[in-house]
Order: sequence, then C-alpha cells, then structure tokens
Amino acid sequence: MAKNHPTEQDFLKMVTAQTKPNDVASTGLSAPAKPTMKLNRPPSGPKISTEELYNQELEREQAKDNATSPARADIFLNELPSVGEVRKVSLNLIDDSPYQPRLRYDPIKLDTLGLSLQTAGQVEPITVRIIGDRFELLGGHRRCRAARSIGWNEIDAYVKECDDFQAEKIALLQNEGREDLSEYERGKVYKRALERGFAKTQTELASMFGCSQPTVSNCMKLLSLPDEIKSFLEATPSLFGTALAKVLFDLLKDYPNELPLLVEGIQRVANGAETTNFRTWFMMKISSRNRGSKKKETSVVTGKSGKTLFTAKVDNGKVQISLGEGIRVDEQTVAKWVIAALRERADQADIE
Amino acid sequence: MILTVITQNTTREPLTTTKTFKAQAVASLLGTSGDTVRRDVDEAGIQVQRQDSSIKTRLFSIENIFELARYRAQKNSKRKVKKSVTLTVYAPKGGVGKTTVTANLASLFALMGLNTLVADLDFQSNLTLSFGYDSELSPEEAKDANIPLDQCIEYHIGHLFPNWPTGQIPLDSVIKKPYGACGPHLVPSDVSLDRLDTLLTYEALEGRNAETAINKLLKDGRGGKLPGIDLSQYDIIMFDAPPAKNRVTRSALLASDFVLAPISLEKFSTKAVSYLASVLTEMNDQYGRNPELLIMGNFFDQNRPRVLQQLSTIRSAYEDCWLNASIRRSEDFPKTLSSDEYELPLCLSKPSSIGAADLRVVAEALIKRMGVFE
Repeated sequence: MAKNHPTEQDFLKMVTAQTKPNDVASTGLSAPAKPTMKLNRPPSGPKISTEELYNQELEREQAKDNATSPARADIFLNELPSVGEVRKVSLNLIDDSPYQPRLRYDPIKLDTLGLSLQTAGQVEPITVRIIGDRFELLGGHRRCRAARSIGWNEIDAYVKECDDFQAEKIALLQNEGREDLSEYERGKVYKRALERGFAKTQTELASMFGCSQPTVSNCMKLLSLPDEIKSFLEATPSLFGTALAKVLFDLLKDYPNELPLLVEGIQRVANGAETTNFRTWFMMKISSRNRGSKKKETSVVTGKSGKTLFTAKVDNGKVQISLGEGIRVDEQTVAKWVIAALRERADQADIE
Repeated sequence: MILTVITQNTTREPLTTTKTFKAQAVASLLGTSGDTVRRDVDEAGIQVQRQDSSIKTRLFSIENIFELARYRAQKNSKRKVKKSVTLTVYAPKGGVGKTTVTANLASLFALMGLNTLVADLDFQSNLTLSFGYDSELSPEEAKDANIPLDQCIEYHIGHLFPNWPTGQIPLDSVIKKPYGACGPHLVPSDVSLDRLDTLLTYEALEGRNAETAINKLLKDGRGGKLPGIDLSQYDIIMFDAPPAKNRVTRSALLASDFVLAPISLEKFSTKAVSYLASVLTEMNDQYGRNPELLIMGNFFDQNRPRVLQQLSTIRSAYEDCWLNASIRRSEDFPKTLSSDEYELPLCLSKPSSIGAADLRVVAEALIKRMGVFE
C-alpha cells in the first residue's frame, strides 16, 4: 500500500461514515445542503427482462410478417398500377395527403432524417398520386419534409394510380406502423379505419395493422378520455400514452368528482412533470387537502379563562356546534343565539 | 505519430506485451502471494520467460498474467459464475473518467477469471486507444513502421450486425485481444462507427424498433443464432457508451442489465444524475424495461468539504443506486490518453497505487451487486 495513505478499509469506512446524511454532523462537517433542485428518481418496480424484450420484439416482427392481409400498405401500394418508373418529382408540386393522421412532426427526428438523406442519399422513393397538375403524397410525408429542410428541389417518387378510398386506406396503413406515431394518433387511425369500414372489429383491425387486439383496444381507449384531458393530447399527441390513460380511468372511477384535479395533474405533465408518479401526486393532493380542510374548518371559541366554550365544525354543507365541558348555558340557549345571529345576517345570505 | 516508441526497438512483438512483471507484482495483481504464483504457474504449465542474467527470475508477460488468472479461477471451485451480465458504463456528461474506469474494470474482471468482452461505442475511440490501438493507424503506415497489421482497426460493432451495409464480419475478425486470449476482448471502434446511428435511424424509419437492435444482437449471439458470432463464451459484456443520448447509446442501455454512471465528485453532477434517471424513466415508459442504475463516485477527495457535500446530497437522493465504493482523486491516473506513448490501464501498470486499490474495491463491489458469482 502506498505510504501516507489510509488502507482501502479505512477509506471505505471513512466514505461510509462521512457521507451518511445523518452522520455528517457528528464528524464536525457542515450539514449537507438540502438539494435545491428536484432530483428525478430512476424508475422502480416491475420491469421486463432483456429476454422478455427480445421475445416481444420477435413476436412483433413475426406478427408483421404473418399479417398476410392484402390490405397491408406496401403490398397494397405495389398492386396499384404504376405510371411509369421511379422519377424525379419537384418538391414544390407535392402536397400532403388530406388523410394523413399525423398531427405533429418531431423536428429532431426530421433533422436526423435530413442528415441521413444527405449522407446516404434517398434509399426508398416516396409514393405519390396525380391530382390535377400536382402530386399528392401517399407515403413519405417525413421524407418530403426532411428533403425540403436540407434544400433539395426534387425527390425520387413512384407515381401511382389511386382513388380517394384507396388513398385513405394507404395513408392509414402506412402511418400506423411508424415508430413515432403516438398512441393517441394511432387510436385515431384505428377509429377512422372502423368508421370507414376498412375493418369491422378490433380483431380485424389488429390483423390489418399487424398488432395485437389489446394494443388496438388500449389506443382507442385514449379517445374516450374526458374532453378536458383530451384537449391536451390534441395539442401534444405524445404527451402521454396508454399507461397514464389507465391510471386516469382508474382515478376517475374512484374519484368521479375530481376531474379538475386530474386536469391540473395533466397540466403539470404538459409542463414537464413525470407521468410515472402521477398517481402518487394525485393521492398526495387529495390527502393534503383533506388534512388542510379539517384544520381550517374547525373553529374554537374560548372564554376569558382560556377554556374552550364552543367548537364549530364545517362538514359537507353542515355546521356543527359542540358545547365545551362545564359551560353555564344549555343547548336550547345556544341554539337561540345562533338563530338570532343568523337572522341578523339573513339579508347577506338571501337568494339573488 | 504511430505507436512506434517501443515497437521500433523490439520489432518481434506488438507493443502491448513489452512490459513484464515479476512474480511479486503478479501476486499483488491476483491478490495472492509470490509463492502461490510460482506454484500455480508451474502447475498450469504456463510458459513464462526468464531473465537473461545469472538469477533466472521469471518475467511474466501481460498474457501470462491473464492466463494464470483464468487458471486460478477455474481451479477455485467456490467461485462459480452464476449468470452472465451486460453492463453499460455511461455518463451523460464527459470528463468524469468514464473510459479510464471502463478499461480498468474490464481488465479487473478478466483478472477475476471472468470472460470479458468490452465494446467501444464511441467513434472517438478513446477506449480503443486505452487498450493500445490507435484507430487512425492505417495498414500502410503500420507496414512502414513494422507494426503488426493486427494493431490496425478495420471493424467495429456495426460489422457484427447481420444487416450492416457491407456485410457481417465474424466475431474473431472484429475483436482485439490486447492482453491475450484470457484478457479482456475488445470490440474496437473507429470514426466510421458514426454510421451505425444512421443505420439505426433507417431501421426506425422502416418501422422496426431500432433501439432493440443491440439486445437482439446479444441474444442471437448468445443463443447461437448468428453463424460466426458466438457471444455465449462471455460472462460479462460491457459497453462504453458516448455521452450523447443517441440511438446507439439508448440501444446499449436497453440491452443492459445495469448501467454504471461514474460521476465526478469534483463538479456539481447532481443534475447529470437526475437527467440520467429521467432518461431511464422514459425508457421504462416506452419499453417496460430499463437497466438498473448504479452510481459510482470518482475524484473523491476527503479534504474538500464541497466534495463531501456533493457526495452527501447524491447519497441521500440515490441511496439504493449508490455503489458503496468510490475512486479517490489521485495523481496516478494519466492526465490524457495519448497515441504517442502507450500506458496499460492503471490497475495493471501500477497495481500497488491508491488508484488501483480503489478500482479493485469498485470492481469487487460491482461484481457482488450484479450477482455474477454464485
């Protein structure tokens, strides 16, 4: 061991002793500064293993491969009659699909895509159809945006013949599988596919989109959230997903009158609060409010001697007055006083 | 500019093997006595060079030491490997000694007799350099300077993926064995590793979950599903992840059982830890899993109140993540990595220094925490 230095054991002992928050004072050091910022906690609780993650992904891939429904986007697109080969199309002439369910584009992801277009070139042509003297996108909304952002003038495209009904189906199918489509947007896609008659049941939807029926059901459940909460998702679809929605439905069931508090919680999430501790936050709010109300709403009237004469408690629209021990008046007298006091102020309480 | 300093004098052997150790030094590396070392090395039949002088002292090469470590581990029936683990060393902020810690831990794990693979995920290739490989060395330059060609970096982790644009390369051609077969195996990196992130971005755009790619590689490699890539031999797979939270880093984190975050106790690093915690939370929300966070203090200095205060704040907030071992600030650690002069990781070059002692405590604490042995 090096000279003039404590041994490993000494060192470890020292670290342990000096840094246990409670022991700091005893070592003569100043007490630890209370963390001024809120420190995020790492997630705790159940999580899947790397094996489970692997198997899940495998299933996902297989489900995709097995989804042989001819309605899948790429097959469907291939079946459409082409107008010539891949060709360069001017980006100025390309319009978005009106059926595009995506509400927002992640600027960072668009940036990355632009960068890869720049370094590696365009690997997959976009797909368009002809509307009048312009083109309408069937697939490749993000590639177009990324290409515009890096200053391209034209882009490789397949030009297909396609009617509105087909175009809508393609837009739905193509976009659903995209990684950054939020669960809320996905829910909207499923709903639209049901409404338009592309599928009749959730199971049919699942096989059409190559996902599981619970996924369809969970995503669509997001659409049945109260409007006050849904408006947040309209603004930021990726604000939260099915996991928090489950918590919200749970809490709504147990506390049907607490929608405003739930909205307040969602506002916090919108401001950057974590979604994982939503329930904890909500329960804390509820319990602290109950505690606060008890304290505030019990008033005590004391005499000159300092003894408690009356206590008044407010509870759910009722006012209860209790008589202190050994006071000289009886309940009837107190009741008369109260009534007299109320009559004096009757005009203040009169119905407008 | 090339690793010529020693290589030119002794052209027979690659640079990393030139330092030799006497039995006593080997004993301190393996935590045993000089006599035991001499007995074990004869028992194992490991060929050790002898000094040319009249007293024929054994001169252990770095390969000899790791061979001996492996032999001793196999002989020790009490310490059996229970499960293999994957560990990412990651800090959201640079300059916390992450790469130094990674290189030393990989070496120490191998000294415990564990089959260790460590992958450099940073295209800046600092980990690769700390094992003695200059990623800028071209085959032509090597030839001119009489450096063995296997000192050049040709492949990186991207080449292990089946869908790598230029094709998959067998593991044996990708990895480097800086300290011999029983030492840590290195998946090196060079500047072209940057492409892996682009590849993963494409995967994501094609609707595949790119971030699970490394997990898939490890599982397929362990399960014998990839011809030429057998990862089942490794007890520990480590990743040295770059500070940027890119797809490669996220993919490594997602594939890992643990993430070790070295934090500098000299700087205010609570914000970095807090940020990492939120990254893990996001990962858990998205995939239902995240690696378990382990925090390790670096540059510990007991004489500085601010360091103690910092440590105390982090300990009280992250008690359950805190690895009960820190590394002291010491002059032993080389200031910068340089490609002009190669230095072995501290735990090997100066086994009796404070830094090396602290690193050993950290390595033991980690192995225990990760439940590697039965």
